[in-house]
Amino acid sequence: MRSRWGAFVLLETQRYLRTSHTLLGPFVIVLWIAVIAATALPALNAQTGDAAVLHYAILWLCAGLSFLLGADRLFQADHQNGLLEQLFLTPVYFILLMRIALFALLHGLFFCCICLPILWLLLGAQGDPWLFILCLLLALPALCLTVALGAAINLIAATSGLAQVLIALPFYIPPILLAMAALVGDQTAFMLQLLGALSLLNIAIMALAIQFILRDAVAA
Amino acid sequence: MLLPLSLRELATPRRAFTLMQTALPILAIITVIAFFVGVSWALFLAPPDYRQGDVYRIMFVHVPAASCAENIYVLMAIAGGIYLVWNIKLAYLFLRAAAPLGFSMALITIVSGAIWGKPTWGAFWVWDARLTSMLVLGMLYLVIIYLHLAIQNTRAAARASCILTIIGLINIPIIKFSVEWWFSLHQPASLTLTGASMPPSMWLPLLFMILAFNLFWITFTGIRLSGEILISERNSKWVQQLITSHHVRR
Repeated sequence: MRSRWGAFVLLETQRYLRTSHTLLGPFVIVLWIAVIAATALPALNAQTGDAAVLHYAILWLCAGLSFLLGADRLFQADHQNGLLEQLFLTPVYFILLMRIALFALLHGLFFCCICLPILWLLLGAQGDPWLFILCLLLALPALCLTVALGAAINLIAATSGLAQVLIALPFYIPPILLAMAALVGDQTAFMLQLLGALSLLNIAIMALAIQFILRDAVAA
Repeated sequence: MLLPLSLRELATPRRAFTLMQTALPILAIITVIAFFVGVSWALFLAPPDYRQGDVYRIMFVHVPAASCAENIYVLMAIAGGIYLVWNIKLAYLFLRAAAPLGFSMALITIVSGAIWGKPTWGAFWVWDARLTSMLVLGMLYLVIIYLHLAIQNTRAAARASCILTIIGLINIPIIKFSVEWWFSLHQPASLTLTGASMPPSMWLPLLFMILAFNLFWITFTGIRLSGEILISERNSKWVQQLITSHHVRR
């Protein structure tokens, strides 16, 4: 049984990595945003004087955008080639959770190991990078499940990609609000606890919601 | 989980439509009276605030609109749950009818808050947790409205918007506790179940305005719900008969 799940994880990872544009595309866009932000930052600095807060804000913008852009075809190919229908013959809840966890892990790792150091240097290396990474890891389930829900709704909506963005953005605000309060406020531990609780709540309900939506997409 | 048969019968679109045709005129009259009394009391009888003067009277629009925006969302989420569990179409139609009203209330809250914010805080808008979470609520309403328009398959649209509404409930406690969890310019609740931080000459008209605003959205949601029922049941016999009898009368 264990080897079967291991094989599944390996297969999913290989399948995901084969479509390398899902990692590369967001990376390029995120870099461009950082370049634009870095160009505009001196002007912003002059107005506010609190550079670390702005850097954190731009990093969150980049992280959010990276996950959003990376998930646009999370279920699309499976829906087109009929794999999604077969998925419902399996314990779909766990498969979905695992697939989204893999997406979160790969994108999170890619963002933390490759994007973040570059962005950190581009933006002038201010603030606490480890605290940012901790916040990102705690917010990761909430962010990834949100974009996955958007990707699922994308399958049944008559708009290409717009539904995903529209759905993900409002749900981005609560984790980012809590993470920013942890990063720049004085109640760091309490905010991190709230962030963790929010992510747990997301894990509990979002995968079920995604399952419902995908079932409709398959039935349609 | 089974719903009692009597409740299921009551929730049929025809029953609900008939009930609303009787209740709506009465509700509309009560709403007008409540608004007349509430507005007169708030504008002419309530004393000015010792620090803010007459500016504080925006509260009589801002607070009721904010409470309505939250109430509508919670009720929409309950309706979403009812639709998903018992597949009662009327619950989804309610969700569909109430969403624009909820958005209007969130918009009134944000605009009136901005007008109030300028003289008291010195800015129309600050990125404060309470204000941001209320903005998120407004955006959630927009997304729900958008889903109805974007998804062609009615059943899929219904399920997607119900699910999204339920998930969006996460935002309601954030709005409620934002003034306690974060340092905020926004004041904590002045009117709670345990007491009020203002004299009765101010909180009584406020209570009346909250009642008037709630009656307003209930009435308008009822009107919209009647329309939604007629549209969704347009091929059924009773709607056809209704239309024919209406034409004959004209």
